[in-house]
Amino acid sequence: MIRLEGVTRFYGERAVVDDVSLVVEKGEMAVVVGRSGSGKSTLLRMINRLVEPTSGLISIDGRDVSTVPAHVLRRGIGYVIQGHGLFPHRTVADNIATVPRLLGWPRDRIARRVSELLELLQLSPARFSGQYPHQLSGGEQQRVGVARALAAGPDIVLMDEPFGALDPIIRSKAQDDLKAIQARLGATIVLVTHDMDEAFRLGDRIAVMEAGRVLQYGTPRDMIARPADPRVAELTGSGEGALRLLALVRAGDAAEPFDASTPPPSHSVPAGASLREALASLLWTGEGELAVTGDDGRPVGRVTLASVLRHGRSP
Amino acid sequence: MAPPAKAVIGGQGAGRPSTARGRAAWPADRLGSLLAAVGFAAAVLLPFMIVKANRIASGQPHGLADSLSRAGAAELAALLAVVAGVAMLVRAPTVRLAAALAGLAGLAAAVSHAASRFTPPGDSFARVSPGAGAWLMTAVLALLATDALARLRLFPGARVAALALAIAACWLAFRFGLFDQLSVMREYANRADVFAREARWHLVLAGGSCAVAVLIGLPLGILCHRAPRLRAGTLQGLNIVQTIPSIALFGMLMVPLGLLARSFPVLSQFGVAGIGGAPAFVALVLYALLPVTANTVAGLAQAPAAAVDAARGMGMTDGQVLREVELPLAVPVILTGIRIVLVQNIGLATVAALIGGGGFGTFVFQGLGQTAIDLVLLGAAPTVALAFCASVLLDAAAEAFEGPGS
Ligand SMILES: Nc1ncnc2c1ncn2[C@@H]1O[C@H](COP(=O)(O)OP(=O)(O)OP(=O)(O)O)[C@@H](O)[C@H]1O
Ligand SMILES: [Mg+2]
Repeated sequence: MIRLEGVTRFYGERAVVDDVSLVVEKGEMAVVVGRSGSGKSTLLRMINRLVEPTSGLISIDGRDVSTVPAHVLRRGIGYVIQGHGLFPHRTVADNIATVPRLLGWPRDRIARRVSELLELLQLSPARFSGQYPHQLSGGEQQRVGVARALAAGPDIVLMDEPFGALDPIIRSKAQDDLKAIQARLGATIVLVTHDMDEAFRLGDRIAVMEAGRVLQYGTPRDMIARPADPRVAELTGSGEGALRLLALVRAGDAAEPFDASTPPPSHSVPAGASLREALASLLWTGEGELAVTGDDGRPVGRVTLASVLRHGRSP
Repeated sequence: MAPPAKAVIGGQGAGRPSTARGRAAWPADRLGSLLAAVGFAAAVLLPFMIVKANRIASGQPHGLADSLSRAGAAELAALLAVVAGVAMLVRAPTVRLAAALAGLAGLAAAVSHAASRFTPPGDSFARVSPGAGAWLMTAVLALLATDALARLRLFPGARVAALALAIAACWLAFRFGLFDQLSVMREYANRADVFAREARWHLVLAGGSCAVAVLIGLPLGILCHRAPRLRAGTLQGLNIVQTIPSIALFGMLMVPLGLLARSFPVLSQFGVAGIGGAPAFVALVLYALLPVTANTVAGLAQAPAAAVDAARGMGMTDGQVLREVELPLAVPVILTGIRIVLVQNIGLATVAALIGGGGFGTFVFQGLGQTAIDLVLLGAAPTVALAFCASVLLDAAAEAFEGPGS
């Protein structure tokens, strides 16, 4: 659990982070979103003490971070720096091995871990291990940066725009992967982005920052249903609220049982798809309802246009 | 005139395609043609050998034709004509290199042969030396060879191997007395043991001062990198030292070191004195400090900020960031600094002889005093050769370190 209480950081006369208090529960993903220069990176970097707060308290699992020697603290926290920050003179494998080496892991354990992580991030170990960062594409570099942060299996991972250099399709794939990885590792993640879609897709909780202040910290649903500030509504895109709500609901969760009297629908969506995708499919096919199919491809229920519309209504 | 086939005929210098825009372009390699023209002029217009009755008498110039037997002159002329043809028309760097080397070998043989012809048997006073023509032709051929080597784009290891081969060839030539009849070698023969001693001392003076400068400059550079407030002052101070003319610096050091030796006689047992090796050594260290320190600072500063930040963020201590990220990335720049310093100090060490510091400069200044140019040459030529070797070696080292990550 990460707890920030009244955290403020001044640069000169200006409070770049201004009286921020928030709690990230264990195993949660908190996404900090805001415009460029709003203080997101500074906030993130205070958690691993790359920046010291001017005032306020930061604790991890009840322990004040300022009482832990900085390098010890940081070895236990994964960190993906904005713009990858890979070591240009080291191979991909050596880059990923950085923290395990600092922790003194035995060689074969490091080697195993490196190929495991490369596979996890869909970088073929045979091809990438021996390459140098300048030989990779921007997206591959960022994935290596993520692998490096996860290398020692930290409980907490701080990620500063980890997917900035990815194209939209790979980006959404990477976001899904990150969700899956987090579910597997059970890590607490704080992720910084300026992309509101990414925030809604990934965040268990979202902190909206503006000029150093957190305007609102809450679940994605709260953000849309009860914006604390007109600026939050503006940032989350008031016109798109309905669609964002639909994107938060899985078709499997909204499915109704089949009605034996009516014939089964001719089109279907997977249970893992969102209602937003279901709506798109309904519009496209002109049908009134869709079958919802489970992992094995068999129908588990149905969604109707009426129920989709109900989910999108202003709460 | 149609542009000739590109496969055989040179364009306009290294790698550029030949252009023949309407007007017929000169089909030959430009540098090669220039070198051939200079070489031709040197062969025809300038004296090939100079013969003097004794070491300070004025010389009698001899052209290429009188210097060699008729057959010998014809052979050399034919060889050089072929080399000139290759230089102008052939593009393949290996062929150009082979031609240049063949030309150098032929020229060396001709000079050696001419020297024996001009030396009367049993006369130990006469002095025979290569004339301006022979020197200029050597320079032209050496340029052709280095140009060909540059076009070959050899890997660092191969460049060092090429240097080793060149050194071996020169060693063999001297070992078998190819140039023993030349005046420089006569001067050498008269002082072979002194030469060996001064050569060793020159190496100690230049190499040792460079090593000490690295031992001081590297930590100083790291310190300046860490404490920016120290940086400006230190670098400016060293900059001022750099601008003091070498003789003035040697002179300035004579006073404090002389005082030191007089106040603490123990020190003079270790060679500390107002004149001689000590002030020379100290002055060379001082000159070497700026390039080493400045390049260390510049090298450390060029490590990408994001990489350094990431290193810290992953829990490296300051020392680990320095050892594992900043220093490895700075090595090529630091090596470049060391190369500058070593080459500079090999040259500057000659000046040390002025204050009794020894080294190859001893011969240079003796020669100047006696107006014996051959003696000057005995000091200057090895200095240049040494500087050249040091430069090639450290250049290769810097490039080898740059290899993987860039
Ligand atoms: N070391 C520093 N010294 C002075 N000002 C700084 C420093 N670091 C950040 N700032 C200022 O603090 C403000 C917030 O910076 P920060 O990097 O946290 O923004 P950000 O929200 O991460 O922006 P971006 O999305 O562009 O990365 C900026 O206006 C920046 O100029
Ligand atoms: Mg940022």
